[in-house]
Amino acid sequence: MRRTFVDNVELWLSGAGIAVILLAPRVAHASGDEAWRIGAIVAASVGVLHGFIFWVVRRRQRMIRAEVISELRGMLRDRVNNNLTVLSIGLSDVKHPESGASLEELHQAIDRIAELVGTLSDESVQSWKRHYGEVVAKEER
Amino acid sequence: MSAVLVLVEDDDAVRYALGKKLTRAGFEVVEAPDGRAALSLPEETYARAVAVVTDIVMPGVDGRALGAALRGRFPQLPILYMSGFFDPTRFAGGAALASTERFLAKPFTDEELWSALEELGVRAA
Repeated sequence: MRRTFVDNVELWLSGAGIAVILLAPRVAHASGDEAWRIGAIVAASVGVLHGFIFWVVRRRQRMIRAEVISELRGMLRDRVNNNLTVLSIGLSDVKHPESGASLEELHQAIDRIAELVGTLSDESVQSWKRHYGEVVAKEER
Repeated sequence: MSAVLVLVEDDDAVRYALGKKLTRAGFEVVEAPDGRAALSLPEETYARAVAVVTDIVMPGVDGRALGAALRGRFPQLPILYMSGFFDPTRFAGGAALASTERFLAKPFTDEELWSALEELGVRAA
C-alpha cells in the first residue's frame, strides 16, 4: 500500500491538489468573484507546496541512487581487485614454468569476475556489507 | 632456516596465490584466513616472524584492528597492509603509517610487492 503510494506520489498529490482547489471556495461559502479569488490563492499555494514536495522527493531519490552506486562501487572494487590480484600473480608466474602455475587458476579468477557481474544485485551488495560489517560501513559514512 | 611471514587474507584464491608466491621466494608462510585467526596464532610464530602481510577488509577483526593489536604486542614487527577496497589516501583515515608499516593497493605487480617488502627491510633468509 505504502509502496503504491510512493511509486505514484505525483498522481496522488496532483489529485489531492485539484480537490483542495475546487473545495476551498465551497468550504469558505464564497460565491462569484470571491470564489474565484479564493480558488486562485489556494491554487497558487498548492502549486508552491507541490514544487517543494517534488523537490524533496527528487532530492531523496538522488541521494538513494548515489548511495546505491557507492555501495556497488565499493563491493566491485573489493571483489574485482582481489581477482585481478590473483590474475596479476598468476600471469607473472605463468612466465616461469618452474612456478607450477596453471592457467586453470587464471580462468577461475576470470569466471569469478564474470559471475560477480552477472549476479550483481541489491541482495549481493547487502550480503557483502553484512559479511564485512563495520570496516566497509565506516568507509561509506 | 626460512624467514617466517604471516599472511592474513580472507579471500581463499588470493591467499593461495600469494602464499605460493611468497613460499617460492623463500619465506616460510603461516596463513590465517582472518584477523581473529591471526591473533590466535602462537606467540612464537610472531616472535620468529619477519613481517605480517594482511588484507584490510576482513570479517570480524579487520586488518587495521589486527595491525593495532600487533603493534601493541610487537612494536618492531613490519606490517604490510593490502586492500582492493581502500586506496592509500583513505586507508589510514588521513593518519600517517608507522615507519614499520606500508600499504599496497590491489591489484599489485611482483615488483610492487617485493619493493614494499624491501622498504620494510624484509627479505627471505
